[in-house]
Amino acid sequence: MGFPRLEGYQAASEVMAEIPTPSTPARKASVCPVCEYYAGVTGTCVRCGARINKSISVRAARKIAIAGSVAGIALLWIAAYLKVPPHINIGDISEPMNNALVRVEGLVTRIDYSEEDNSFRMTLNDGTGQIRINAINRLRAFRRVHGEKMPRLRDRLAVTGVLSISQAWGNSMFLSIPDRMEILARDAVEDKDIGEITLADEGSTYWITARVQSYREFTTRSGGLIHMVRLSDGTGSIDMPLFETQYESLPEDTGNRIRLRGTEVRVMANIGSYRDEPQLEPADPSDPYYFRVLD
Amino acid sequence: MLSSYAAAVPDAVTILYVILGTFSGALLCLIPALHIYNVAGIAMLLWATARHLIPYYALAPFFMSLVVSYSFLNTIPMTFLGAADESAGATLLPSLSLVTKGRGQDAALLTGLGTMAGVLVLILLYPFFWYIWPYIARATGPHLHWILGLVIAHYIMSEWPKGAGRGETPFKRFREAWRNCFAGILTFTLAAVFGLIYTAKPIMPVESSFQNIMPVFIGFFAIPSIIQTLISDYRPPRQHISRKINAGWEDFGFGAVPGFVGGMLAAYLPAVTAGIGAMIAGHVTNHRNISRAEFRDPQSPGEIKHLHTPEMYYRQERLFLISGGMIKIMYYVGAFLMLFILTDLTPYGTGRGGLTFILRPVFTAEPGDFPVMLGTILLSGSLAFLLLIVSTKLMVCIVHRLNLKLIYISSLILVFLIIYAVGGGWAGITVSLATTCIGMIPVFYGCRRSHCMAVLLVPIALNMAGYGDAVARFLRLI
Repeated sequence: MGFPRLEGYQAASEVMAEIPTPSTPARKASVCPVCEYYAGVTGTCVRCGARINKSISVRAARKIAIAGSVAGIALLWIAAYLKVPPHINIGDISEPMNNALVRVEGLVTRIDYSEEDNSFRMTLNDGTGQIRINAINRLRAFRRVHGEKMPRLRDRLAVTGVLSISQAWGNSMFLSIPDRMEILARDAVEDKDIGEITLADEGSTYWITARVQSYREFTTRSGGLIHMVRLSDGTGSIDMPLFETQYESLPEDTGNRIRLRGTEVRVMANIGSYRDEPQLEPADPSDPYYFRVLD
Repeated sequence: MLSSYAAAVPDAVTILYVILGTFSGALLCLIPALHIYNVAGIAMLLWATARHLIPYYALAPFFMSLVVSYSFLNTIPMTFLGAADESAGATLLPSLSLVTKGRGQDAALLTGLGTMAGVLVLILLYPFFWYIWPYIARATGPHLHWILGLVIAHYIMSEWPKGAGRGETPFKRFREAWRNCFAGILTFTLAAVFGLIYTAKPIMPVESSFQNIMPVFIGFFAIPSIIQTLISDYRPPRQHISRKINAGWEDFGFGAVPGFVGGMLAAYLPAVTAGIGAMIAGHVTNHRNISRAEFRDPQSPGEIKHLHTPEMYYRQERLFLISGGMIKIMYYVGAFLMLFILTDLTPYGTGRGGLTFILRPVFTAEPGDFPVMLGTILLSGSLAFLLLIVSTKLMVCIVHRLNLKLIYISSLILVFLIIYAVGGGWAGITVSLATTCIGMIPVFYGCRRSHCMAVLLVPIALNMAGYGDAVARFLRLI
């Protein structure tokens, strides 16, 4: 088959008019009708610039691609807009849930604010388990939205974030959007009479208002100093051991006064146990809000 | 005596699992469009429910050998069947060109040799990874958001107008020339918007969240490749069988530099794949004045125009394949290997990539694992390279007789079954169909397919820069 010689590159389109359309197999549709170079799905031969005789199907595919892309993104947005992140129990979290956007609710059992690295981290307990919530480099952003209403210890929170499950670090959640944190109840902790506390309350947290019945110090086998305060509220009495670091974190005045019998204190404490007897574990002795002497 | 035997047993078991992983990876990655991370995800799920299948100490070597094997053997479907994944930009163009000329053996084995060179580089650079890399990782860690920003800017800018002035009117010539640029920008934008919505509020069921990116990538890369092959009626011609590989040893020296640079970029930078790494490395290292191919007067009867290709082009083709092979293994394997660089500066390693993410819930790297991983890479890499040689020979003999349509339609069905089973059910299938449409734009408008990686690049860069919540608020997805 002889083709006329081309003087210029654009003359290829002129040649095209003289070339009969291949009527044979689909294979022909992928081959340049001018130079028979394999052209794949391109509409124009990469070697000679001739149009490939299958422009209708390629054009259709192109239209489908663009229309489908725009429609697909619109559908995705609608689906995402309508999607409500599922609420899950912390105890039900498993490995395949890694990277899931979920909502959890629970009590804040620990919280650390770090102004230096603009972050805060907290532990949430919903009764089925606990999870660490990390807002890395987001403290100022959260403060802008929540102002003074940032979470505190024993608040009941609902947070929506992305689960990160790691064998090394356990279950945690990344919280990056301030609007996805909601304080359901402030100080969601009840007051409790000492006489009502039993071993069944272990792991729970209560406000205790009581007077110091006795104070003593003793040294553990490992050499650590324990400040043992026994509290009484008329319904019963209970021990509240303070490790040296906890005692030192108390304001000086508070530290001195809890050594004195009869001093009235209000303390938020977790219920622990020692030798089958319940005892109090102060939630945060360093913060006067959670551990204070009543005048 | 008994105790020494007992101590040796775990090592023997580990080797057994490395061999098992290598053969499993080799077998599975021969299925076009099936990515090893899909297989790894299923394997992790199986292991999480039946932990006795693989002893814990053999878990990382098994998965490592799976990925090493994939890095070698995915050359076969990629070269002969045109099945592209997200790293295909590193090798696909010259591979396809060589296969159409009947030189698929050269393409596959040059890529394989490049991958083997990558294995040796990973092992020989042990001091670099252990003593120097932690400083680099520590120093660059806080700056990744703007580094990714530069990658994005460079990537978009490097899509240049083509078209060679075809068209009857100035507008048609303009349209022809800039078509691929606009297509590239459109693909990038659509993928980025998709990624921003998808990461701000994933719609996948909670139980399959660990694989929520799988349908996205299958849609972007695997399904468009299948559609492309079906529409273009791709049929590789009969291949030449040769006892020699068309390259000199010096080519490996030239190919190693872009291979290493591109591989490290892809292994370390989040969302930067082998294709993007190869493009950047090519720009960084290619300083030679390369003559361009040009049309000349006909030189043989029946020729309309003679396409003159300078010798340098052929060398570039070889270097592209070698460096592409090296980038592939550094991207897949190097990224996972970095998880085991546990030093004072990098106490949790610097691992990235799909496998690191998949294994994180069930596996923790421990001090002393790094040499084990190097040994695993060497053993698995050597076995996989032998398997590649055998597979290439087999493929060269049968590729022109294969019913590619049947293979591709079967693969498509398999891929959809996998998405349905572990990738989110109908939600996953819908997501993959949407991303298929975006992934088809580069295929049919002739721009780079790696633009689809904007689905991760843009959200990661914005989140690292602290603008993730602003974007989510703008999209009303709080």
